[in-house]
Amino acid sequence: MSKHQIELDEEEEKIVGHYKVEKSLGSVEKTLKLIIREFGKLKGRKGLIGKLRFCLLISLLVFSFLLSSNAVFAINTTRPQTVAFNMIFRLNNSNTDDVVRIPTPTPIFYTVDDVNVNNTQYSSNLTHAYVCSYDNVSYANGTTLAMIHSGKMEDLTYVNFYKATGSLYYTLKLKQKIEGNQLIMPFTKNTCDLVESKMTVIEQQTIPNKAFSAFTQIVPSSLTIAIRSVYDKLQLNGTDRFSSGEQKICFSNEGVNNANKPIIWGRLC
Amino acid sequence: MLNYFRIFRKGISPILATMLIILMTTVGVTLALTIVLPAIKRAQESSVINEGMENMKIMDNVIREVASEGTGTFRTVQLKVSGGEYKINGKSNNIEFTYPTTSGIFTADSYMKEGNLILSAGANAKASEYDLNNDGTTELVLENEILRVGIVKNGTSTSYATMNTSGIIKLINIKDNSMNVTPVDSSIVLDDIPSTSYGNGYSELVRSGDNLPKAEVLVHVNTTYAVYDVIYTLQSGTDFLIIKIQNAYYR
Repeated sequence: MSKHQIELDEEEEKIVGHYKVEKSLGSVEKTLKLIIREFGKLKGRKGLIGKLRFCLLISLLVFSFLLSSNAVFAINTTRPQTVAFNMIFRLNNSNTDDVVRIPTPTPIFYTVDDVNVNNTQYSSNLTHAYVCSYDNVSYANGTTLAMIHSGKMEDLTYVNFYKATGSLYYTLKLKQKIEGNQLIMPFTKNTCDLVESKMTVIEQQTIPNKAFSAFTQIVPSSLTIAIRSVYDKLQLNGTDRFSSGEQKICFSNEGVNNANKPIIWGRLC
Repeated sequence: MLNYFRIFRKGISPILATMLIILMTTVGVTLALTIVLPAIKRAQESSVINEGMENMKIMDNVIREVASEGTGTFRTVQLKVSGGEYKINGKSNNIEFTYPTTSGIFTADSYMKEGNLILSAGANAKASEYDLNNDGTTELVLENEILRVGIVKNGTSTSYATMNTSGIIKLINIKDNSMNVTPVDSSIVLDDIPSTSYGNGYSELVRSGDNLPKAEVLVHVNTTYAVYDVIYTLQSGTDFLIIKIQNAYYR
């Protein structure tokens, strides 16, 4: 290997090294500047190595573009990140008396009737993470249906209310991150004020421990206590049940599933 | 007066003595039934629940430990179980301990969260299959004291059928005033890709029966780009449905 070739190889390494730094910064502009600068150094160099370096620089340029447009990451992403829940409905035989509430700092109310609305509110503009609809004209005690984000506020993307003129139905939509979150959908008596009043509890304990509204219930003579552990970041396999006695339970790590989560097998052994 | 007793020291009559014995026995039994036995029962139930909490903590810690280590990691736990039932539930991805109580140690709306564990009271949920909305097809029905929820029944885990998430929730009904909502669309879309809302798959009850702490349906959705499960949960004594996505991945 000639001295000239070694120098060129070192220079290529330098370029690639620079590229790595630039990639980590994620700045297309900086990468482009680097490529232009390095391309300038190639002036006057001809031959096979020069052409190879030219090809390398073009490849880097294309790759950096793909990175910046997120195309490469999109291809490599194995798990969906967000979920949007849609509900298209009405609370009575007509939607005339349905009212939609969006909890912005000054709450937004829409009497559905014949409005033409497509209102999306991102989490940063919401005081609480829900969108709600109620009807207290057709029903004396009111009827309400809401979509509530259960999880961290920053994991909520947006809530949306959509209604087209003339449509008999309207849409409530809630988009959230999948991991660690869930949707609570109360369908109960009363109005959206009730939902608003329960939001502090939901924000503290994720899932409310009792019904939103008070219902007449027969008090059972026996009450079953349930203790459960729920897993988001692993897949638990198994169907075994056990009760009184000395029990031996085995847990094994069986690798990862398609969602890249560890598979844990639990069984009596 | 003392002289009177000294003169007439004959003892009380046998009838009176018998009555006194019966009275004392009745009082003793009543006290035992009303105070002592419930206290013992309460202590027993409390002990089983504490044991359940400890056993659940042990299993939870082991599961997380095994998950954090590599493939092939293996752990065994030895548990002493005095009461209740433990269930490893792969479908809803949890471990559950259930124990029926009668001593009133908890009220119906009791709720407690300790670390990764959630304790709740009440088991009046029901999961069954019947034609809830009288449309001629069988639905998977989640029911508790307040609500009935009809979920589409389609396919099996061994034989997939067409699955469009827009039609999963067929009906929600408030039982005490027969108020219904029939969504025309209840679709689920992942990462804003419309085609993730339909494909094939199946739906099934996680566990069927009465007197459950919660009634659940699992819907498996297999689309062109993504595969995922949706769990619909109706807990005992609540007026809301919980919807959660799990095991989602791109093909």
